[in-house]
Amino acid sequence: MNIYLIIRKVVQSAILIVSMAAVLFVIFRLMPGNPAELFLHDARTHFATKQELQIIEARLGLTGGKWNFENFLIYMKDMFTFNFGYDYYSQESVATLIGNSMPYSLLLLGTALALSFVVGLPLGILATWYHGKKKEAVINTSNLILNSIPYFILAIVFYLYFVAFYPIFPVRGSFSTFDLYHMYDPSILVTVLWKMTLPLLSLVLVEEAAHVLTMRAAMVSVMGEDFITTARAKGVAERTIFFRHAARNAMIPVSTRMALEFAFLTSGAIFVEAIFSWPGIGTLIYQSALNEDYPVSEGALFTISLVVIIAYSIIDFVHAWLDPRISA
Amino acid sequence: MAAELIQKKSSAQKGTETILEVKDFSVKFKTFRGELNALDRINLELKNGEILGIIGESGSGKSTLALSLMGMIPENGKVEGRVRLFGKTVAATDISGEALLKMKRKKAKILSEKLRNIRWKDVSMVFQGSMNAFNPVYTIYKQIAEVYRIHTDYDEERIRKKVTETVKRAGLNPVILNSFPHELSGGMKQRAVIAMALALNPSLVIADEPTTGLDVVTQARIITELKNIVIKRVNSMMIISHDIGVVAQLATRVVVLYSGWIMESGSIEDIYLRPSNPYTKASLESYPSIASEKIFMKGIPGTPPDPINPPPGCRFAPRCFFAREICSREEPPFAQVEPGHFSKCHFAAEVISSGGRGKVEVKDEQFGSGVSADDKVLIVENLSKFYDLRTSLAGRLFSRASQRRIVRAVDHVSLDIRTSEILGIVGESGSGKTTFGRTAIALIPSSGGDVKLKVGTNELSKSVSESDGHAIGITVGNEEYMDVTALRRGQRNYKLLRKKTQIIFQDPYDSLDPKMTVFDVIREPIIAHRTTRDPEQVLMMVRDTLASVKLTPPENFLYRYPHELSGGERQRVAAARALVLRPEVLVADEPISMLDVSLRAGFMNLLLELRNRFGVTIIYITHDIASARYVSDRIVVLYLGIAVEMGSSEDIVRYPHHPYTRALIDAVPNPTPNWNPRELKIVGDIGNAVNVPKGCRFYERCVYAQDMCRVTPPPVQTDGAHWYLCHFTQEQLAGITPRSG
Amino acid sequence: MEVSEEPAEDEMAQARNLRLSREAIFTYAAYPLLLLGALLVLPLPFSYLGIFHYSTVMPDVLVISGISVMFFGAFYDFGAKGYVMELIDNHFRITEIDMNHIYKQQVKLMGIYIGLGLLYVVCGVIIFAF
Ligand SMILES: Nc1ncnc2c1ncn2[C@@H]1O[C@H](COP(=O)(O)OP(=O)(O)OP(=O)(O)O)[C@@H](O)[C@H]1O
Ligand code: SF4
Ligand code: SF4
Ligand SMILES: [Mg+2]
Repeated sequence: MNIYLIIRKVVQSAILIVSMAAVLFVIFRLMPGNPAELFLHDARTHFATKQELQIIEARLGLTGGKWNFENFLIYMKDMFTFNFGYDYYSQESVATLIGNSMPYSLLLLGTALALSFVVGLPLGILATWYHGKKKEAVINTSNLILNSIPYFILAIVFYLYFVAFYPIFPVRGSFSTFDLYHMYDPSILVTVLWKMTLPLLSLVLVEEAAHVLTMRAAMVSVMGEDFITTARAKGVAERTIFFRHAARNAMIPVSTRMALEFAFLTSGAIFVEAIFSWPGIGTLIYQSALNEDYPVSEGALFTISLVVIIAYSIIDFVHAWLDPRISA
Repeated sequence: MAAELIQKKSSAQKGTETILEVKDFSVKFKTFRGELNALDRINLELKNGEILGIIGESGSGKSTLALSLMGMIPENGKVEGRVRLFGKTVAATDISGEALLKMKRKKAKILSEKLRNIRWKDVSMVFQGSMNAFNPVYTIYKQIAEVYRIHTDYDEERIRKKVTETVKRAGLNPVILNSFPHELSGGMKQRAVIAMALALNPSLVIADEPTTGLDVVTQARIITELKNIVIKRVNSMMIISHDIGVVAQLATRVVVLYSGWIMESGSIEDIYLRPSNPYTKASLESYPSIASEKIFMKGIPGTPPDPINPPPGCRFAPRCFFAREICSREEPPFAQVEPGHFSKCHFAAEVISSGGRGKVEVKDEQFGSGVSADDKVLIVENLSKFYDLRTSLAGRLFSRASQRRIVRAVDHVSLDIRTSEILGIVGESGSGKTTFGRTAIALIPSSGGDVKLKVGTNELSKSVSESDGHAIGITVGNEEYMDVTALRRGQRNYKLLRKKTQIIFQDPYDSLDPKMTVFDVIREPIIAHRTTRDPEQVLMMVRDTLASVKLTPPENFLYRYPHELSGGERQRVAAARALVLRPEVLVADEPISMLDVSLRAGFMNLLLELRNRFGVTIIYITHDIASARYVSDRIVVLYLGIAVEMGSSEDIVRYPHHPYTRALIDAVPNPTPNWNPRELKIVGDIGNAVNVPKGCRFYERCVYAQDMCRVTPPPVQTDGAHWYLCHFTQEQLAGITPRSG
Repeated sequence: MEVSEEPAEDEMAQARNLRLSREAIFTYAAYPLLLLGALLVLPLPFSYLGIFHYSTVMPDVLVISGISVMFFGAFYDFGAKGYVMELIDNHFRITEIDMNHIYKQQVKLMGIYIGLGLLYVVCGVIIFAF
């Protein structure tokens, strides 16, 4: 690929990250109220004195008003040094909190993304392969239904069924941040996987359906192209036509949607994690939003957006590799 | 010579084995609207060594037939009868798309395996729209190599050698093997497709519309190529086309399809010289040819039937000039009229003996009449249109400094257009035809030169009232003209110009607003020019115009929407819109190229008639010289923005002087059997009008070019009315040994 | 016939083309500069009237605008798509070299826009420090 194009793409991602940090700054400052007062109030220490308020303001980066420019500079510096401040309540460093929950989120998201591709794309191809047969109808309708369900609804249904009524899957307790690093221990591995099953299913079922539908639509349109007829006339086996000639072309529109799907998946994961108390960043964001714990929300959102943007750029390069016609 | 060889070869092997046998073969497609009968009880045979041509217009079932031969009937297709290829059944009731769909897994697999083994090895195909025959994400090499991978057990090295050899034989540089399809030009891609079709030396090659969408010059090259292939490399070929001329150059036997029926089949001489079916006859007589005398083409009235509800009796009956009462009642039999010559017509014997449809000689009423050389409606002097890509900010930013970015779309063209004449403008794509048409009537502003349009005395609002002080009115001789190039939008005389000049666009599907009824479409200019406000009179004008473009009775059309019209009718509506204000000059930009072949002659006749009845001057822009010769009185040939030759249409076609015109004329296919195309005397492809040579613009492609041509612009050589741009006279050119193309 | 590289324009024309290309870059660079001027000057009367505090609000506004300018410079194609379409319409052969040049110019402009964005930020910092 062209070196200038690569430079441009990399810089684009960098600027996207900077812009996003700025947007977060604005969003959080547009919220009503004074976080410092809120903090003191919520922390139920005692009635705040002016001095105390100033100390807290300084700690939260609010000295001289929300829009104070110096705060912005400090904020930006903090963001890019992953210095997100401290939890209002536990006083733990936000970076540590994020650091602890990130691996869980990555595990869940990564597995969900990989699984939904591994299941969704072949299913989409199969739906076209079984064109006109019952199997196609089954694949199509089931995925149409799945795709129209929001993640959290599916998660709630699962929760009600398999946690509340028939407690098959454990949700709370017996799970420490430590566990993830001891997954080589089979018993811990089983615990983690067991706990992950429901959130993973909620994400994968919906996400995979989106892949099935896009892939199928793309396959159907590619199968009508002249080069497919030519391949068939060449005596290429139908299987090869499907998987080598058509699927590769159908992947192009699918890969453009991939970035979008990843963003959806990430946003969906926030709710799903919260519902199943999966100790990931989603739960962290959810908790911090409920508690109006700004530093945690800011830090967590920033980190998660960072991950999404990096994923975006990787997908961009994959797309360019898939389609040789790519240009300006 | 090539044709003789084909003849010799085919006669040597004639009567040997039958390689293809199609028996009572029908294909029906399930569609939302009902069952569509794409092929109806077809009987066909192909013997070893024959080259079978299949003629038929769009939708007649040509491609369906071709796909059937390869056992590739689509999934919604139902089959009756059968097709046997090399003794193996490739299509039958239980071998069709639908049947495969319903079949048990295992059985379907065995069957597909069997069919796949026949494909490409025994019979290969050059597809319609070869532009997309290659998978865009793989290199050409991969796709040709695939053929060997499937059908041979060669190792990697042997495959590489074979593939390289294959493309070399097709006249391509092996470096293209590493290219992706989008990196090749149309002609190169077509060659690569042909190379791939020949990779395994199949005994039968099917070419479905192998030249559609290519420029005439490229088309002629591909035809020559196919001809060579027939002589040297394959036994039999099937050539499918809507173009009678293309088929004539290649086929030894011809089948004529119409709406899923075989109307006629026989040897090429049978079909072209002694047609026994009214459809064949009408088609032949509607094909403009430059080889024969200019005769009046009657065209075929009406439109092809709806394939889902074909008319009862003979499917051609509603359009047939020979039809009698029985025709709309009883289906005609497919019967032999002479040995080996079959026709599906109740009156085949009568048709064959009736000779032509009564040849109509060139008559003044029909063709050019009373055009006076002194009466000029449009005077074009040094008209130029340059597009500078550097005028836009992005253009300046992204153009490399070392590169020219000025396109000389039209470059100092001077000519007079006479009142009531039809002037043909011909040239390849990229020669500036469309731009010339539009700048000549100031639809787009020109970059230089003058255009003067004749006006009646006192028609112009006086120049003093024009805001910018330009004198719009000019007197040439005794006539008043308006200076079109000096006009600005918004001036009063600009409206007059718009009223006096009109345009018909190429694509009748694009040029009409789908939300407007025919009435609204045609009324629009009346309203815009405030010709009249009286609704009665508007209606009358619209109806008269519809009648004059042969949309009768007008009541049937007034309140229809464009999607309820056929392509030909749409184009007539576009013509009606252009004509409703009785313009003096009408620019028709490729008006027939999107129409079905059977409708083209009708539209050309309409143009002739409009000229004769209303005296409208028509600038007829086309890439098809034969049609230009049919409608126009004079023809001008454009090459990269320059007019290289001009003369009466007969002179241009019979005595082309400029080397470019000669090549163009030589490239035009001819609907006579065993016609030998002359060797094309031209090099390369039309480039772009950017880095034009300093001297003659044709220098890089001219086979006669000499050193002086490179630096010195050529002068005009003329013998009165016929002129061309070249350094050399005809005698001098004859003395130069042409370099090979 | 393989299409040969288009012959180079003569030196004078090349110099002119180079100038035009530079001018185009300046024109593109002028817009954000004008905007910066406007941003700095236009709020002055309002701040004079006491509607808002110039030196506290402006730095934020400037920085946000600066980031927007960078964003624009990174993601806008500066008309490249339209230009390539124009080339195709006019039967130009588009080579690797052309594409490379286009990307290069885009990167150049992107750099300029980022620089200008930083200028906004610097202005903000200066106003703040005042
Ligand atoms: N898969 C299909 N399903 C439904 N109808 C079809 C299908 N394939 C072809 N047809 C219809 O069958 C008829 C014959 O089609 P076919 O493509 O064979 O025509 P053709 O002679 O090759 O035309 P063209 O010159 O436009 O290529 C047309 O009316 C077409 O619309
Ligand atoms: S059967 Fe009748 S309608 Fe059909 S082609 Fe013959 S004469 Fe014409
Ligand atoms: S001037 Fe020279 S290059 Fe041009 S057409 Fe005549 S012979 Fe050919
Ligand atoms: Mg076809």
